[in-house]
Amino acid sequence: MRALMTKIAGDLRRRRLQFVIVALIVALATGVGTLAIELMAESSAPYMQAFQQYQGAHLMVIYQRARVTPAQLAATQRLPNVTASAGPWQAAYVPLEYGTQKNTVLVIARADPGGPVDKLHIVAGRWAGRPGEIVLTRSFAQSIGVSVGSQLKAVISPYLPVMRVVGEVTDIDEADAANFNPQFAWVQPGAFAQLLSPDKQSSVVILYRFQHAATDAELQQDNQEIAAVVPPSAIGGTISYLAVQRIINLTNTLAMTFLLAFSVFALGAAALIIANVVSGAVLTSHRDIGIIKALGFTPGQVIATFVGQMLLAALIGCLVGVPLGVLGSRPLVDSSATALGVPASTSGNLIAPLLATLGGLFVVTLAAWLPALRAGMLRPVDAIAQHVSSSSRRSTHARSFTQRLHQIHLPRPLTLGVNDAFARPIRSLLTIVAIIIGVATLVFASGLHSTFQVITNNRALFDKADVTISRYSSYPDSTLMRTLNEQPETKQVVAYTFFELNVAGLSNPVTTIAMRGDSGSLGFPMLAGRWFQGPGEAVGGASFVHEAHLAVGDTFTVTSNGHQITLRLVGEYFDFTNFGRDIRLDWSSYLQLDPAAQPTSYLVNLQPGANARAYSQRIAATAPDYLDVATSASSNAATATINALNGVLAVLVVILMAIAVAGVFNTLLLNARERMRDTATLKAIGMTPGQIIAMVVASACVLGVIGGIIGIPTGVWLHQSLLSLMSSAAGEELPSQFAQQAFNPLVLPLLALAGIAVAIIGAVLPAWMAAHDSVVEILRTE
Amino acid sequence: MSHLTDQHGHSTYLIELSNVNKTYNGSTDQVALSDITLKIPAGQFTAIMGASGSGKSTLLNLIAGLDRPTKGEVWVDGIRVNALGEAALARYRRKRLGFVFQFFNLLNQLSVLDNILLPAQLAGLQSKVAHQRARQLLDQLGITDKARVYPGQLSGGQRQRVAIARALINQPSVLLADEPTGALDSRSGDAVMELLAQINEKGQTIVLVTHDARLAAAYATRIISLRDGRIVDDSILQAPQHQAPSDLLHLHSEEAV
Ligand SMILES: Nc1ncnc2c1ncn2[C@@H]1O[C@H](COP(=O)(O)OP(=O)(O)O)[C@@H](O)[C@H]1O
Ligand SMILES: [Mg+2]
Repeated sequence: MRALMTKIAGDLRRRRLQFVIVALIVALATGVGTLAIELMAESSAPYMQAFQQYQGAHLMVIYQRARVTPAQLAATQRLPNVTASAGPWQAAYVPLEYGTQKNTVLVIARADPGGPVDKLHIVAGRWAGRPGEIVLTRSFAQSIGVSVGSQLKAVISPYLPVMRVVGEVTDIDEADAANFNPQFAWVQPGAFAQLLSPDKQSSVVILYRFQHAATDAELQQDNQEIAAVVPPSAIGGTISYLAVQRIINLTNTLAMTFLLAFSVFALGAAALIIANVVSGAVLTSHRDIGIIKALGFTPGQVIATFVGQMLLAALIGCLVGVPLGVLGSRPLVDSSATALGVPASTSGNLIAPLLATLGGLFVVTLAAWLPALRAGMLRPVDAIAQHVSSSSRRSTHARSFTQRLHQIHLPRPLTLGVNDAFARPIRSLLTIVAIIIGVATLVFASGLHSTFQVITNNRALFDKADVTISRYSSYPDSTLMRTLNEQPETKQVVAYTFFELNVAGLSNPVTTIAMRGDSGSLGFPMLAGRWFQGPGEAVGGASFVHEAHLAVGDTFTVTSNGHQITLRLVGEYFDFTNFGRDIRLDWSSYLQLDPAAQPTSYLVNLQPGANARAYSQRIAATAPDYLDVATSASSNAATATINALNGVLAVLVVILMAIAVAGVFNTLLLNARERMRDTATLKAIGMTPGQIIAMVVASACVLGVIGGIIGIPTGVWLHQSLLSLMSSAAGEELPSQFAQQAFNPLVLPLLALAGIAVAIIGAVLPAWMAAHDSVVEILRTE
Repeated sequence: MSHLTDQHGHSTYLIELSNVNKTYNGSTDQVALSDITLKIPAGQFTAIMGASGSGKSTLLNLIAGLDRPTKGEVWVDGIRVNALGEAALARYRRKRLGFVFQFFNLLNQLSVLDNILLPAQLAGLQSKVAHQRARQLLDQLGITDKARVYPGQLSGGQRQRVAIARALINQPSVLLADEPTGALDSRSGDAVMELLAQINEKGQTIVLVTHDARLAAAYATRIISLRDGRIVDDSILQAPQHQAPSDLLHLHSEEAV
């Protein structure tokens, strides 16, 4: 054992540079690994934990109060599968005004924050008591910038009651305000009446927990049982905890999917390089191996000296990389915890660091053990005898290739370098794979970046236009439209409203958006068919189309408000709304269902060059209490998420490229060491330092070019597979245009240059060292 | 010290070392050469002799510009070698020098012909001319049939012939050889020395390091003996071919100036 340690220590001194490389790449790889595992653990576990702790509702059903009797509601709560329920509570959508902003919340009349379902966690203040007191979610309070003590105006005609914020809570049944709207707010039941405008119908909310609610299908079943007990049009809407969880997890799922994939790649690339280091070490120390074997080292001990060195380096790498990975995961983990309204776990869960460390060490051991096996098997006699380099066993392919290169009049140093690239085919292959991984990551990241760009640039998906306006029902649509049409900058107005539509054959109402104006020009991405053009036509989100078993061209029957019409599905389109479980149709169709309907939101696009800010201020001034006016410049939650993902991607690109550079560097170092004598000879017969550098860089460039060329299709393929993975995670197909527009065919080949760049950066130091090694020293020690 | 010069101001000697010192600074300063002054005219076949560690290789390396003197000047073919930069040294070696090593140092991945052509290619010699010269050298060294063969398939003696051909392809002013027979059996060694002598007869200046007195005496035209980094003996042989060492005309280094 002592002898083993001495041997390892001696070898380490000789191979310092390689030791550093191994430590570095292991640090990078385990860092990414830790980040991925940490995120995975944090994003799945806390929601379910908190869900149990706060007795979250599996299903929240919003009933239309006028269409259901208290007895019927009570019957739903006695269904055999219902294990617990809360409510019925009265509820109403109420616009709250604070300063210049207005946001609608669903105000629920609830006596206390406890109870058997959906315990609310008060993080500031207290529960609402007297009339005029309101409790908000912390996320909503933060998003509009209010805190306990702030005063809000409830915009209810004909008077505007003032509401004082007395408490902030976290609610397990909602996602954060950026992703989940409207948020809930609470008042005492006795104070609810003042929030009800005379024309407004109120709703009733019941929260349910079920025996079986693990999957969408089970929840669907539960939902159908409830629907069977109440009249057909009684259910105004439902919110499933799985949908909430999905919203919370979507961001993390995406980040995790590629983080996990790329930490595997990083570890794989690291393994390739380590295998190279060890097989290089075995090759150059054949004689040493023979000697120590002759001295009595067992094959196992010989293997252990090689694996031991790598493990030591890997351990140091883990010590650096794993803590960095933990630190790096904090911001992402914390942000998802805030969104959940649960405290971020600061306890320092050891699972991720431990798993990453063990994984890293395992991969390193494996990568080192395979080539070390060769050293263990070596017979001492052969090992000692085989002292002169065995490079004469060179494939004739490489020779004739070099010959051909020279025939096309490449300068001699370059052809020699190209030849060197293939001197050790397996080593070159492993290095090329490391470059492929680096370049593929770059290609992948650039593709994903443009895909994000295509998504965020599609304003229709985010209900955005140059100017967006929300109108409160007490202000007439006709007045607003007149105002808009009077403005010379107005180019186009698309108005719309949301409602729930009962579709024959489906138990749950489907979110439907009726649109007035040229909605086809907004540019929703189509998956199939075309946009609707007039009455009787509709387009459906993918999830709705699949659930209803419809194909483009099919007709289906819908009812709302006691009216029934038949719609033809003319297209399937992509939409974030309700995860694609939605329908869009023309305003004329909606009027058949509800002749008195008026749109509530307006997308206004302006003439080129118009000042959107001035325009929106002018419009808002016409009815400050009844209109919410925003410009497209105002921030958007999706953009923030995408920026965060882009940041993570950039880090990944840097790390995997760095590993590729380390791979090239290591390979050239090994090559240079083995060919030291040849290089010295070349210098002795008149090769200049510049020519030596050209030779070494050329050999690296061969690897870089091959890696770059293969890396591009690999990256494109990764991008396409991740997109399809993303769509299945989101439960929705992504439009092909997202994938198609990701890569510019003119720019794509340029990314191959990244492979060459990696090669050149990795080559600089070994080339310089080769050019400046002393000839005399090398030729003397033979 | 004044140099002997011809009317153009050039030294009449092809190689001229004046007061050359070489010290390797390791833990204890190792003096490899001390105060060497040496002049070699064109056309000589000089053998440098001495025990292991006496400084023979160091002397050759200084002439080749592979190493720099700690003190003193090295002139070869009118070039002040010790003043050249790395790239200039490489060009100097490529154009004016041929170097033959004890262990041949051929590039195993190149064929015999490509090994020989290599210095010509580095020097940018016209390919046609280079090939013509290579053919001629292969012929002269009796290895024409090995042109397409790889060094791994050659015997030691054959490899050394390839190395000599490689050293001569750029028609150097000086051919340097460090123990070219050291890795060969005595028959191949003799054959290689015979070849060098023939080349010398055609006017090629050769400086050769050997510790084999018999070979030196049999083929060289001048023998310089080193001990502990100093020239202890410098003899010009009248008729080198079949002289016994005892018949040599002795000339001490001081007297040679
Ligand atoms: N690079 C070096 N570093 C230190 N000492 C050296 C170096 N090269 C040669 N020497 C020393 O210089 C002396 C002369 O060496 P060398 O010229 O190689 O001798 P020879 O060729 O006659 O055997 C020896 O003592 C040797 O140990
Ligand atoms: Mg020597």
